[in-house]
Amino acid sequence: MTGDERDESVRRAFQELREEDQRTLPPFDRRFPVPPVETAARAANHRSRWLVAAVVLVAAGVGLIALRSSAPRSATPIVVSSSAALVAWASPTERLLQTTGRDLTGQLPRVGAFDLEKLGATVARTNDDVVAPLKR
Amino acid sequence: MTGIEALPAGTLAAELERLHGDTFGWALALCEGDRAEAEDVLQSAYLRVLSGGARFEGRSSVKTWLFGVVRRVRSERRRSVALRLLARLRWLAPGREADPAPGPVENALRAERVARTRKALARLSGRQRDTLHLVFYQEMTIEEAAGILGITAGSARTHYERGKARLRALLAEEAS
Repeated sequence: MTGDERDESVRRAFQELREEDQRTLPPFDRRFPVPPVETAARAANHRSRWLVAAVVLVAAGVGLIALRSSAPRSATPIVVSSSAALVAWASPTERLLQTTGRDLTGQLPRVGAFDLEKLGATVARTNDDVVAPLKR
Repeated sequence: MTGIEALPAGTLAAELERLHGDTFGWALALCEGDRAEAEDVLQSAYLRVLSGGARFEGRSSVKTWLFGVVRRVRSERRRSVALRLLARLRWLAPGREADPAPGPVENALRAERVARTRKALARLSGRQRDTLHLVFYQEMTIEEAAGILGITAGSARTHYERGKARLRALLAEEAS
């Protein structure tokens, strides 16, 4: 028996197999039970599911942040003392803030409160006070 | 159809329809004769092709490319242990095979021979079975079969020769 003759039995077996398969071949159209419209709807459904999941996540995050910010930061209550010593307390460096002319800059002048002539006289007098001792 | 750069969706569907018989045979071979599984594999493969999940780039014939897609789909489904177990149950379950054609005695005898061939093929290794199917059933060259299976031509030739010898022996054993 030659190689070709030996192959023939295998070829015949496959030929019969093929004919049998083709006899029971499902129609091509049946291969697509999911129409494209339904596929698109499914994709939209998937998208909406993701959207809902994202919204739930964001809401949970916001809720958590709100909860944490409203909760007291420390469990130890702050003791408010009404001691007179505390009320009278002053900063040790407070005097450094007492600069020249602070009383002038610290309050708003009223409209019409300045009399420029008087102010000029005051300035002139001040200059005299300063210069006169030097001349002497 | 070799050398096509890209196929429009309409042409692709027409090609799928033209090759439907061959593709079904290939899916059936990959699923070891399990029709239900073969139909599922085929449907997944067609949907993947038509949805653009698998793109034809013109590096081979449409048939070779399509067979590669079907094989990948089948491999992916195989990875699921649950599905594999289910497939075995289907295989063992009676009445899952195609009903033999009623009528003449010749048809009954033919159906019996086909069943024997399927049984013998199931006893070959996967590579041997797939190589023989592509060469004898699909009438491809060994090189084309190697391309679909992702192996070298030399390796495909070895599977072809060994598979052929084993199948002959199994068929003789079944017939006796």
